[in-house]
Amino acid sequence: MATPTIEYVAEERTGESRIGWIALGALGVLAIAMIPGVLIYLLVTGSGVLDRTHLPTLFSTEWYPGEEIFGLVPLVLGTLTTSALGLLIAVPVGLGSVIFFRFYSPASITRLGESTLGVLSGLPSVIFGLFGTVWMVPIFGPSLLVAGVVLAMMILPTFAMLTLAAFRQIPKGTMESGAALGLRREQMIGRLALVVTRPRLIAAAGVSLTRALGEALAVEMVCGNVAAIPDGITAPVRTLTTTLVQEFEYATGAHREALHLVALAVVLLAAIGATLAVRMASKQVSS
Amino acid sequence: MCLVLFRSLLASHIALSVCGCTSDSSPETTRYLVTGSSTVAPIVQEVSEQIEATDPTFRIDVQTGGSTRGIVDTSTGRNDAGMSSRTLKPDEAEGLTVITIAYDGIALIAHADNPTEQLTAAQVRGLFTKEIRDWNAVGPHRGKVVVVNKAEGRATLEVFLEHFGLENRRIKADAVIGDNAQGVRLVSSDRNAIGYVSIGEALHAISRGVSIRLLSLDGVTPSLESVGDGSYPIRRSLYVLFSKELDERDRQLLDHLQGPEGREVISSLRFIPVANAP
Repeated sequence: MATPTIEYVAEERTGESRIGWIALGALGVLAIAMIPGVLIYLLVTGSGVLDRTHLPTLFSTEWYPGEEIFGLVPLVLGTLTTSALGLLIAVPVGLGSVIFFRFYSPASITRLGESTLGVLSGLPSVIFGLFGTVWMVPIFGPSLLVAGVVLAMMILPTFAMLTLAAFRQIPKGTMESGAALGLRREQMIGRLALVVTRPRLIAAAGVSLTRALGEALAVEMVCGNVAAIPDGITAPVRTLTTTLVQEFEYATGAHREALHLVALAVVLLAAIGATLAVRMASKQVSS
Repeated sequence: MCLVLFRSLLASHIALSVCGCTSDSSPETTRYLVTGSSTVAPIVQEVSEQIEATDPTFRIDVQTGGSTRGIVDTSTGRNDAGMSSRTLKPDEAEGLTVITIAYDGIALIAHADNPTEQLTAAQVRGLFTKEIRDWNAVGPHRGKVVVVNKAEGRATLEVFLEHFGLENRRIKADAVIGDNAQGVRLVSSDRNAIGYVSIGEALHAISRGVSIRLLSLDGVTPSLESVGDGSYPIRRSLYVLFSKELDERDRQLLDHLQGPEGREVISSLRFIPVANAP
């Protein structure tokens, strides 16, 4: 379907750029096609458990592959609660630290803070998992709480870096006119900086959330992996991705097919999260 | 797959450069794939390296993926040999050659600070189902029991459930672990935890100073000796599987596994070689 459009556009170009256009166009189509490609692959591979005996179990709260009961509810809930907790911690902490670096700290501290965030955002997630295992699990036990904190540590640098970039792009004149109007520093931050950057802050939170939803390894080390509805913040939880980490290699038959649906659920959740963030961000821009 | 390809390329390259013009007289290199239980894999891996060192025409690749994978791969012909750490069901074993190469015990473990020394099977059932909620019901220790269970699909879980006559849904787990090492780490970090792992893994951890202890079961202390003489009750066999009549390469691997070098490898990994057990 997409190819004729590319041909049409290419005709308006000179001959020599035509090949380049087609090549780039093909890459573009490939990038777009990857998402439905992955979704279709997962759905087809997991379709064996979409029959009459297994389908109803997908909506139950029990995950007992040995009995061919594949309730996705506790897994989805585990993914959502751990990610939400991570975001709930990372956003205020990240925002606070960036405001400090941008508007309060002396230049030398700002530079140090920015480069530290850069290093932190490049750390592999397993490092945060190890931290949680060694320092937090012995105190709180493997739980929703520890998983949330580990995720918060993991996504905080990403969120802070994106927020920092947003603050840097505030037009100089905006802040200067604020100062000329005699606004205090708190007012400049609250009424100018945060308002101007709001769409980008929402997008930053969305990107962070998507990372948290998909994280597997670090969470698996600290969440407890019990597939049940958590009855408190120190209760163990299991997420979609940790289920894949623990069981995929060992699963056969219907169990293995069900795990493809688990993977499908992760992709869908991440897609929904990203789409919502983009929507909210663009709504903020237009209003 | 890349690795397999690379290794075979490397092997043929070495063969060519060593043999030079007489390469037509060199025996053909066999690529041999073993898949299955991650418990058995280290044994086969180490033995394979020994075989490859003396016979460069034999290339053995060992891939883990659990006992069930090993069994399915063997019966569908996707490997040359399979590994299993659980007993095969009658329909699974059909048409396969199943050979026991070693024994392994599954030990109940608790934190080193927990003074409880032994449990009966009934107490173990009570603790894992949380019918017994506090340690003081079974010994001098006080504290709410923290149950560490194994993830679905692991042979250790199946052996444990079968021995105690439990269903997985009756176990009230506070944490579910993947491999043995993760279980040892969790139990060592919680004074009220109880879990179960391969005896070899537990002994290895204790020798490294990890703060766990082995619990006696029905009056028998878990040790390599008590597993070897059959007195410790939770014993499982470690198997290698072949799909048909054994060919020359199958024999070569099996002979090495059952020979003195293989038995030494098995003992060094803290399992019990079959020949030493009754």
